[in-house]
Amino acid sequence: MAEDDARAYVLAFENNNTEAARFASQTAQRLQHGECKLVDIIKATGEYLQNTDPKIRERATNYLSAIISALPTKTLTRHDIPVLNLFLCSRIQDGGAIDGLSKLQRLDRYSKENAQELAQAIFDNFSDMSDRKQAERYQVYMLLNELLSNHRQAMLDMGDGSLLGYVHVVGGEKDPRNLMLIFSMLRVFMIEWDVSKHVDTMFDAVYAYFPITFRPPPNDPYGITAQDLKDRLKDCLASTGTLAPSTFPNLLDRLDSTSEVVKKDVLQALAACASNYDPATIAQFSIPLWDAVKFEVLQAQEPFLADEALNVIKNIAICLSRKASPHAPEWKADPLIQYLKPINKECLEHLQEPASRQAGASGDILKAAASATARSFEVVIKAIGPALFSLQQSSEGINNQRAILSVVNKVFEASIEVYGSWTAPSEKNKEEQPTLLAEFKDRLLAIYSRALMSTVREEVSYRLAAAKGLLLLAEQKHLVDENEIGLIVQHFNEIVLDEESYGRDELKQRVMQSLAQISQSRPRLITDITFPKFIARLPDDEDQAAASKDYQSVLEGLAEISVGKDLLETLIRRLLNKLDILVQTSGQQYPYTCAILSTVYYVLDRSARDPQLSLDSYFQRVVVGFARKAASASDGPLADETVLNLLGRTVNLIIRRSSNENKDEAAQNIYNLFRETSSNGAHHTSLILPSNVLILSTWILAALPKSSNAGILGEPLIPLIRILRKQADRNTSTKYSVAVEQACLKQITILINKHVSKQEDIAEVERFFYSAVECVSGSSSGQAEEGERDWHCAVRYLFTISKACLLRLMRFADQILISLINLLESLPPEKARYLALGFGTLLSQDEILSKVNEAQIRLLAPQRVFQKIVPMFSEHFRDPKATQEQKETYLIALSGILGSVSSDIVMPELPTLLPLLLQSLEISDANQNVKVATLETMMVVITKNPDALIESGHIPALTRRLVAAATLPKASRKSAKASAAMKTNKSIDTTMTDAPSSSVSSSSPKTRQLALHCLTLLPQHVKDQKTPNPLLSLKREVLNGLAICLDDPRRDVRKEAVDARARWFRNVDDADDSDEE
Amino acid sequence: MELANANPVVLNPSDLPTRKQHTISQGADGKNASIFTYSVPVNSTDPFFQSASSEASDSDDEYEAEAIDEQEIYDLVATMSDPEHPITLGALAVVSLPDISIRPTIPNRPESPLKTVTVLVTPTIQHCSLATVIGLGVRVRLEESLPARFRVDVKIKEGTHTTADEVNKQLADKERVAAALWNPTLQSFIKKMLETCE
Repeated sequence: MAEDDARAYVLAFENNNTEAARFASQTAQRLQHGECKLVDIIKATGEYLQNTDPKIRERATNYLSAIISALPTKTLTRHDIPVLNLFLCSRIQDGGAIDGLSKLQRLDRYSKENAQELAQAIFDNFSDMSDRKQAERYQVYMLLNELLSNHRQAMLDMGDGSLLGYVHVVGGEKDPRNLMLIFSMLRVFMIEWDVSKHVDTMFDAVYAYFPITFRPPPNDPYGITAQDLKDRLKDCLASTGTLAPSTFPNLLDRLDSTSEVVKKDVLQALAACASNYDPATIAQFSIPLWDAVKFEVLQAQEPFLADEALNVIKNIAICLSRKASPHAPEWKADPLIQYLKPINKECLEHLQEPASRQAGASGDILKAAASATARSFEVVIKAIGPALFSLQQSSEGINNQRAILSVVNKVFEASIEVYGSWTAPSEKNKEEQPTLLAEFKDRLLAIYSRALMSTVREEVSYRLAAAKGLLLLAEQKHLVDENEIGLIVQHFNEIVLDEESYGRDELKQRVMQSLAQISQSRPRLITDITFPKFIARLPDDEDQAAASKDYQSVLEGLAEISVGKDLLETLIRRLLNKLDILVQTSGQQYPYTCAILSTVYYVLDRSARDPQLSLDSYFQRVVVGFARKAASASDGPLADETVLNLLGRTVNLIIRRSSNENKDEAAQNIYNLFRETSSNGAHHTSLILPSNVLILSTWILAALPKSSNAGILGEPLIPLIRILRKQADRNTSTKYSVAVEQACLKQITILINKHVSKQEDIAEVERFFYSAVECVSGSSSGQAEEGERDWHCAVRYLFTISKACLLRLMRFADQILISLINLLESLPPEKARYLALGFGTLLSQDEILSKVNEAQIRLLAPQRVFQKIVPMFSEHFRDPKATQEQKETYLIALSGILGSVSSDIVMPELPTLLPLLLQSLEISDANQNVKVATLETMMVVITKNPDALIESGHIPALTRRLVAAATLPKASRKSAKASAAMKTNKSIDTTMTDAPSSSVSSSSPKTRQLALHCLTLLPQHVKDQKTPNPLLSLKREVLNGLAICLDDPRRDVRKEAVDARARWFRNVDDADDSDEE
Repeated sequence: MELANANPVVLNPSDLPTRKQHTISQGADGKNASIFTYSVPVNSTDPFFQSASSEASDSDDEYEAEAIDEQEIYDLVATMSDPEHPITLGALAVVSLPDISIRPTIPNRPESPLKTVTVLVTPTIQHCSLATVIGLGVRVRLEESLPARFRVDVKIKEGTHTTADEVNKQLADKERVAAALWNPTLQSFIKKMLETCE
């Protein structure tokens, strides 16, 4: 029976793997149930196992392996395993044997002796694997690895035998997958075996791979990066201090490499060694290491290398602060002190010239050494603390003083790292000892305060260093008491409030940030000292505000420091009180009122980032209170559009974050605005007066959830939409206000997008749309200005409906787009142009119809609209009957859409779009928005998808058009100068701009700047490996063209031209040329 | 390679001259962007009403033509880095604003567009062997970045270098400059100096 199975298996193996596996498991089952014995199976297989054809032998071995793996772990007896093991070991070179052995050694009854036997067999048979395939080698290494993890003691008992055996087998490996395995095995040997007799062997086995130069192939399926290999190799090198006599000299040699990558690897390996080796070992090498590594900081060529080197310096100090192991030799002196002594000495020497480059680097070194541990901080501060004070006294010149403060600031940072800050304790200071800076505290505070407050304001960097230092002192744990921080806060207040603005106001900004930081951990100080001072600076009314002007920075400061809950509430209460007074005044403009409202909104919005926070407490005070006031105001701030918009925004935020009851109350009062004398039911006809208040209604309506059914939202919506439409129209005929019309239209979008849900209502909306289309397409009767205004209003209404429907992808969305494009084609040019502007609104970001206001914006809506509309544009554009004017109209519409969708949506349509985009760069029209939108799209195309550009073959065309768009024609260059000279004569200016630009199309500064920026981006991104650089043939032409742009009258444009030219000079090379370098 | 000056004095970037200093008045309303952007009326994003409001502020006529001045020249060269250190020429005070001047090329016709830019370079130490390279780099940068109507004159500042005369002669000699720029070592030096310019 067993013979049958064996034969069947061997026969089936080649053609049918599953069938073969079935035979093997059959045998295994029989074995398990005691129907046959292992001896019988081997006997039965014997014929094949002895065969001279290696293929047949392989099948037989496979058969055995398959049986082993199909058996439960306990079936094979203590007698079976050694037999099988011995047999497979003797056949280890045959295919399948390794597989069987690796299954066998996982069995519980696999003994120590078996494991050693197997290991020896591997050592004997696989001493040279250079002619084997990667996968085969991998299998052997896997088995070795498993032996090491499953039978560690057996391997350990083999002593040097296993160590040398392993090292020998794995030597010469090059494949990254295998190396990952090998490095982790070698690390085990380094840590658990006694390698002291084999230092050279072990070191060579590992160090042969240093530095790793592996570069993964593109689309590497194994996902092994160079960094993975580097990390494993580094861990190997750092695993045992026994290797130190080899590791350190060799690594330090490599530090002289010219390659920055190699240097980085060396420094990282050194840092890893320093943190893993025994202190006694590191102590032997600490001085030579310092001597070599310091150059990487003192004469750093690259900041990242300096950081790595500092890390080495720090890790050595950490290591030497540990207690040496008991059996280490006794040291005459403390190794940490021995190590830090030359560091302190050398740094102090460099600090004698405080402003020099190496003095700055010395500060970094001292910080690295001091921040290692509390002990090393102590050693460093004792050595350099007093010296720094005397330096500070003896150095002359602000530049030197500034440099000293910067170095001391680094010591402060080290102190925080070691001893902890006012908010967080440090791991390195479990006993919570006070920082050693305490000894110098009073002197430091005096020096820094004087530096900050008694220096002229022109010395920005000096005072910046002082301000930074004071904050760092305040942040120290258990150092500065409340009163002293209070003093610092007062200094900062004075700078923000009393000093005049200077330069970029870096100091004011830094100090303001510091106050905000203090406010987070010491709010009481800010409440007591800063807050009242700032509030007192706020003017009482618009007139005072206009005179002082600096209320903006005060408000900004107040917003910045009011981070805690209490401070925030106090701030809003105070600001609202101010507002109560301000809204009762009257005037023309209300910038101060707006500024206060902005601050209220900003602060509320910032705190509302916490999703749990409710703003119910402000509902009565702000929503009800101010809405009621606005409802009865006919002039003054609350009738002003800007003020109402800001108030609306705030009200919107509060309603969204209020309870459902409050939301319902708001819904009842969309138009009534909480007026006490509510005329029930009358709200439909006499919407509201004054009409400006509609702005507020819009924001309230927008804040209500989709599900809301209260008030007007519970009634039929269609009549309301009609009323709003009339209101928008009526507004047109009487006193016209853009804001009121917009408010009406916005309300219509909200209603259609969010609240219309019944089928018959949707059908009604569709009818609205078609009648709006008709209204726009029909020739307006009156020639008068009024007729035109009505028509414009109709267009805006049309797009209002379209947007609301498109965003929720109503079922007639496609018809909407088709109708709009047909209108674009059929209208006379003047009107079509106006219509084209509307396309920009369709997908644009909208503050009212937005996600936070729960508008229905389908995820796929932008994509669907874009994909539908672009082919239609393209088709109309290529239509031979299309006039130039029509083409331009399409481009305006297209640019509107391009400006409002994300680049992910644009990219797939690029092949269709590119020709259109190129055309729009040529558009002669004065409408710069088209060009701006096109150039902004081009910028994205160049950075994200340069390959598509190269493939399209449009690069020369694009480049030339960009140069043309960037260049100001000679005539207008002169005129710009002329107009600058004769600025007083305004009439010349207007004739210049109104004149039809027939011969030359002059670009606006923004267009020129963007075109130049595109040109800057081209050399960076357009690089083709296969073909010669497509930009090369354009180089001369572009450089000449750019030379003219260098003389642009606008400075920003010139700057961009300089950058573009530099790029084209040096980054446009032939691929071969750059390889030679 | 041995450094000519391993340990130069470095200035803090906050202390270097910038254009902002001259235009304090403009900064007052621009900087508060974070809080006060909300005061902008809503219709500013509406394309139907946009064309009327924004175009005017963006046209050339609203602005005075901004002539190329010393600060602009300074900004061009101050961001270049020293060939020895990753530190800018501005921070090393190799170039400084007072040492840059722009004069009409033809003295008796000041209204002519032809201008001469003179930049005086102060090497970090008296015997700096790289003074010529720095001078050359500054020259290349300015010739690339200024319109053709500008003549560029780069010199070592008097009394700051032991062989200033010889270096100046070299920098003024067009043919020697052109020849030097073919030298691959010099090319790579200059490339490195210009890397930090953007």
